[in-house]
Amino acid sequence: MRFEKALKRALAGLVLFALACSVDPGEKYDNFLERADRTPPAIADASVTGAFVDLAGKDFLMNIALNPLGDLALRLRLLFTRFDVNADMTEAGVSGEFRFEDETNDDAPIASFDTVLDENGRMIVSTGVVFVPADRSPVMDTAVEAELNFVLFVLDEETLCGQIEDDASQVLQPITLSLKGTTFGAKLIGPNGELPMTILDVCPMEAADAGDAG
Amino acid sequence: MPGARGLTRLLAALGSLAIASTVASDAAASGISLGKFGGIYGHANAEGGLGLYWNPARLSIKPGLWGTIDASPVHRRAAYTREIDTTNASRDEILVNSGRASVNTYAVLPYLALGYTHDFDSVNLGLALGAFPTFGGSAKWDRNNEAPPEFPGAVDGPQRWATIASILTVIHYTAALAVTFEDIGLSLGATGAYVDTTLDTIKARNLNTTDSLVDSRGVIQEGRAHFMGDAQKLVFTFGIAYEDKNVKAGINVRPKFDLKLIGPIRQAYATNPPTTEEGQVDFPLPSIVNYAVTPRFGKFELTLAGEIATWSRIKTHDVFATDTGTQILEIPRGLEDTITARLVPGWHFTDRWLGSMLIGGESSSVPEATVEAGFLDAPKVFFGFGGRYERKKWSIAASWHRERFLQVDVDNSIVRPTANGRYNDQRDFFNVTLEGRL
Repeated sequence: MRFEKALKRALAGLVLFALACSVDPGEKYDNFLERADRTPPAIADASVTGAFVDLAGKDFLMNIALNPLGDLALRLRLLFTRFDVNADMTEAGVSGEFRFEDETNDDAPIASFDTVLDENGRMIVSTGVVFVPADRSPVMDTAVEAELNFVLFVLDEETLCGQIEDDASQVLQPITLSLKGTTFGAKLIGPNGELPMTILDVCPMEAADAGDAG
Repeated sequence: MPGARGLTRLLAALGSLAIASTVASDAAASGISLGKFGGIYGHANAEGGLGLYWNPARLSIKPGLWGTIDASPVHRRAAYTREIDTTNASRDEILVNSGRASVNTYAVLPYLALGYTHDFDSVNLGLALGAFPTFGGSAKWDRNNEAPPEFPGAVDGPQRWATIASILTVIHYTAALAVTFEDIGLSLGATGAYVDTTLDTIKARNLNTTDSLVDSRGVIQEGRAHFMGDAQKLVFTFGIAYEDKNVKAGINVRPKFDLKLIGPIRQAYATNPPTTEEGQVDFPLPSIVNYAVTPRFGKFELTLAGEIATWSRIKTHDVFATDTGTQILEIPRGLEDTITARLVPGWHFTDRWLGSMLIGGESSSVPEATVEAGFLDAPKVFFGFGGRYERKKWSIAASWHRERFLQVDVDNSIVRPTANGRYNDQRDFFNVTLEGRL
């Protein structure tokens, strides 16, 4: 293929006495990948100390920063529907549902999950494959299908945070894109459905580190 | 068939250097129509082998074996001054994403045709074969070597969100059949063509369609999308011509056709690993009607020629995943039909010498809202001059003409990120047509 392209250009070059400038879009693409530092930032050590608190019936608004895709954000509601603590009070079976930001709990969830919250307030929440229609998609006018596995920390009764650390979390359609490195924060939605004004999209680890250092 | 394959490659190479801006994210618009064969003498009354493109009905008017070689060296100069007013990028990002970008391209449009017309008393029957590019172009925009290294994508210029470099070729391998009824001066013709299309294009793109180059942590945001696809199709054209001592007239109809360009689309966004998917671009081309009438008054002749092209059938050039049909890139177009008018007065100094001028104009196929550097069209004016020398066994014609695009100032772009700004474009076509006849 490269030989064929080279031959075409060589023939054209002979005929045109090198008047024509060479145009190779593929080479431009390769050159960009070579000169641009596209190394993703290291995923923060998720040494957040979470809290073991009852989440049943609590409804959070998540602010998800899809860092590996660029400056894109996705907001989802996260409703915890079950919180069953074991006899040792060391872990709890948790169930929940995801909805879009502008939906209510009367709407059908876009994903649901069952997981276990450990005594450090940490759990893995997997959405399974979710479909985000074009009008709600963080990718402008483009419907996407994705699978997300959140490492979630319960900071307190009103605050969650976490990140995505695994390779299986991906945008699956229309193209495959890694979501490893995504971060998020979540705040409790008010009793009358008031959405929180400010939500971090990352765990406050830096602040914690600074505190430890001091 | 190594010989045929070699010819195919040579023609493809020549065609790939054909002038006219495009990108492929971009496709064809009037500004990239390559119907320049014959220079100022290229119209529906074109003489000899040029009829294979301009009007096949004229191929059977003169009996004998003939061959035509036509070449149009082209020089294109274009510039785009990007003007952005956005809140989704930093001041430094806005600085490197705005300003002037230019392209300066030389190329040659080739055209080959060979045919034979037999005289069956009052009826002539003609056959012809040929190859030529009908749409396309190549463009590589100048680099911005002043771009700061912290923005590694900016070296590709402020126009890069529309295009960085691209090659589009639509080459026709054409066979024609024509018949002339000498008693009444009427000719009919048709062509069938195997159309081979390739599109190779790259543009800068962010998934959030902004000008953002790095995020708040300084991590790269800017990405690239590169598509290289091809398509093949059989298409047909039809022509009718009339000629007597004092007047020539002709109409040529090229029905619309659709191409589905399929090939790999490579994408790299932010820090994500580069991906390669099979992509598809629906690439409709317009119906085109060419017409010309040439009355002659002694030594003076006047050709009124024109073209109507139904570009309005092109609404988008979206890119889809081939397997699932889901949309990968959204590229709005909303093209408009175009009308072209050309006036070619000529003076027959002798029976062998003809001198001519050209003036004309054409409307734009691309509305301001969807104009971008890789898909530029504008109302334009034509002017030029040329001459033709004709012997019994051969003829030569040469001409120069300029297509001057009127400046386009866009402040209502719907392209994302914005393609607002000022566009200028000018194309000089030199042309030589050689024809031999036995």
